[in-house]
Amino acid sequence: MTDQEAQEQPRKHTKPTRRAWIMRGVVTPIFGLLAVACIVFGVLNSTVWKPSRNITATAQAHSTQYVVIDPGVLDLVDTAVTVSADNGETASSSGTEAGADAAEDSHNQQTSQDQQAQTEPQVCMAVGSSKDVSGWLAGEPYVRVTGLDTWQTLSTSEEQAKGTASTSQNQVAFADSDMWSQVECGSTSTTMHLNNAQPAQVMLIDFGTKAPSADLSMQWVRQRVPDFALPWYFGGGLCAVLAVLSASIFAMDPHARRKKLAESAPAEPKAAKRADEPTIGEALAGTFAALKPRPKKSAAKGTHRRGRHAGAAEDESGQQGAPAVIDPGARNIVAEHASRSAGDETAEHGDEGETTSVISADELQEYFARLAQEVGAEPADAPAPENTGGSADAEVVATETAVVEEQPSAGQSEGKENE
Amino acid sequence: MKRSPLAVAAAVIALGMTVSLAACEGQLPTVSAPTESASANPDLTEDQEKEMRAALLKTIEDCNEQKNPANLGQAMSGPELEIRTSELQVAQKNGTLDPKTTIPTDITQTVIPTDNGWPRSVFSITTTTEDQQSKRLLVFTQGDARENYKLWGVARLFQGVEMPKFTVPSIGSQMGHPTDENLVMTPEQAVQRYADVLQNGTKSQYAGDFADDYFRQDLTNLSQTVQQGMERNKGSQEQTFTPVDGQMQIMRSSEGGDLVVAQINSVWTRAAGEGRESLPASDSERALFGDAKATSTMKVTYVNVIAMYIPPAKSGAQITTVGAERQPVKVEAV
Repeated sequence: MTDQEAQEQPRKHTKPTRRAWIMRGVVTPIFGLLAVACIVFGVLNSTVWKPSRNITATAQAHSTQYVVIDPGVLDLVDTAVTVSADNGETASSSGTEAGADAAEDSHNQQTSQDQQAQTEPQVCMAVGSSKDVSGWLAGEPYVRVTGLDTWQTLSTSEEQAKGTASTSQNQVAFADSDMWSQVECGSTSTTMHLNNAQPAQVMLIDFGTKAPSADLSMQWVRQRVPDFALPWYFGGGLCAVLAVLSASIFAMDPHARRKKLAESAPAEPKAAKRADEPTIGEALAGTFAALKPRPKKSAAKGTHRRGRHAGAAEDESGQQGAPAVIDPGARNIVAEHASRSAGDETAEHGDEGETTSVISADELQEYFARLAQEVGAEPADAPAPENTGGSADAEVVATETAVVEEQPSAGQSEGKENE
Repeated sequence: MKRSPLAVAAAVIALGMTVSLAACEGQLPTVSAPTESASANPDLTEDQEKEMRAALLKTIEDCNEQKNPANLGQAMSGPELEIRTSELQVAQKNGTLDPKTTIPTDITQTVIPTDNGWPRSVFSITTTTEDQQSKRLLVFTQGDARENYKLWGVARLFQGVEMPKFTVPSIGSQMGHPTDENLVMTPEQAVQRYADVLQNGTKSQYAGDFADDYFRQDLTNLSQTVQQGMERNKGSQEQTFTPVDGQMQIMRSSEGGDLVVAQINSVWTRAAGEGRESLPASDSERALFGDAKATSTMKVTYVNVIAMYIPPAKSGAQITTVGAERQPVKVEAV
């Protein structure tokens, strides 16, 4: 056998099957390419395309004095955030503009407040609660930062605060308000860093006057960056394994593969046993058969099955020394009656009773006829013992034997009882 | 032969993926809707209260040192502004500031509300002073979102008085309402009736609603002493107490009652008989009266700040006055 197969193998290599050709020539390269592509993407995702830790999003606000960063935006990407605001004028140009832009300048000079503002820091930002911020803004138009449009741009909307603007004589400067938990000011731009921004915190930026074109930027350093490389590596590994498999095992003829497996098995008897093994189809069918609901079958041949079932169960319990579970529904009353009437005689038929599997209707009828005779002839002189474990065994055995009516074998039944 | 189209297909797929997957930053985070609890945050943190109080007390201290009330308006409002202005004027004359004006910088408790609107108030109770004077109840108010807190009122708590309990400042209390019906009487009524009790003493129909307190006792004693003097020279005296509209700060305690701090102005008119001159009755009055010409009748205006606890309606308990402050602000001969 082995010599013959050894001769056959090299012949197969020299003449590849169509299957092997497709597997090795088409499928393997596809998987190989996919594996390489996945790994390349994985590497790219962990290097060049790696999601950046630094997220900087910007927005521009036109002709507004106030910018409000909504609650939940400060800590949107990370709790550590740096906010920068610029009123759009460079420090040097603001001085020249003041001289050059006559119209604006004259307007500025109209109010003493603006003169103060020119000397004092103009751009201020403060962190407070939303109720305080809306109180400060009452009646004023403002630009609201509502979140991220993209990773680079902030989404904004223009709003008008409810309420009426304060007319108090005791107004304080923006930076001096008691309500803010943190304030930063600068001449034309200012930056504030928050280490632990809270969702309820709101930032209010005051440009002093209506800034024609104010720039706002928020910068977060992400502590947790999404890892896109790992899934690629995983996919790459999977494709590589599939490529190897398709070049080797999958390329083999299924029949030849099985034969080869059988051959590679170490011992002859095992190989022979393998042939006896059920096929997958059979095994599946068996599994499904076992899963089928039983009552259907038992309805057809209820008495026999019940009798056998009870016998099997009680045998097991007797052998293992486990407590005997008696299912009243599974008791064969007829058989019990028979055992009571013919105690000793039936006990002898023990072993044969175990092997009973199928009982035809004819046999049953025969049994009933004979039973009627026996009951009529000799009334119960030896009542069957009931409560001991041994009696349970004997009872069951009696049941089976009576039903089957096989050849009695005293020695065997004794041996059985001794167990 | 077959590999080249495959390679082309693979390349196309790879290119497509390159375009779609390049430089991905992950899913864009979205702003979650603000929770309800956000609006129930206390108006100030304890640190903010401390900072605010320290800044105000520093301004007041500067004014005290200079004995100049000019800048008091930056740190004070309401009855305390009137009282401290008068106290500084008295100090200018007498050379020293009355020890009762001391405000300790440390506190034993602060009560911060969570109310959204304005005006807002914050109640703080100081420690005892270095010379073992009783604790001060400080009432800070913020009239408008664009204003800052100012010291609105100071009441010296009576020795050994039991204060109502308040929710811890990290959770925040609620400000009360002048017409709250869930109390033995509304804060507005309580202040009105207490003024009546101060004016009429035990003859007032409301005398039984208020537990006896040091402030009332002192006033009665003083009044009786003056009355005796007046009777000797056939003079007369009359004191009228009037609550000041809107000058009332209310904070709800955790027991359901309200701690009310209100301003009650009083005018004390003393007419000397038998052609005599009516003169100031105390050092403070004398200092305020200065060198003005005395006549037979003297009218002294006092500002009183009363702190009282109004228990909830179901308790049926008496209203307790827990602290007070009293200062003449104007002394004139009429």
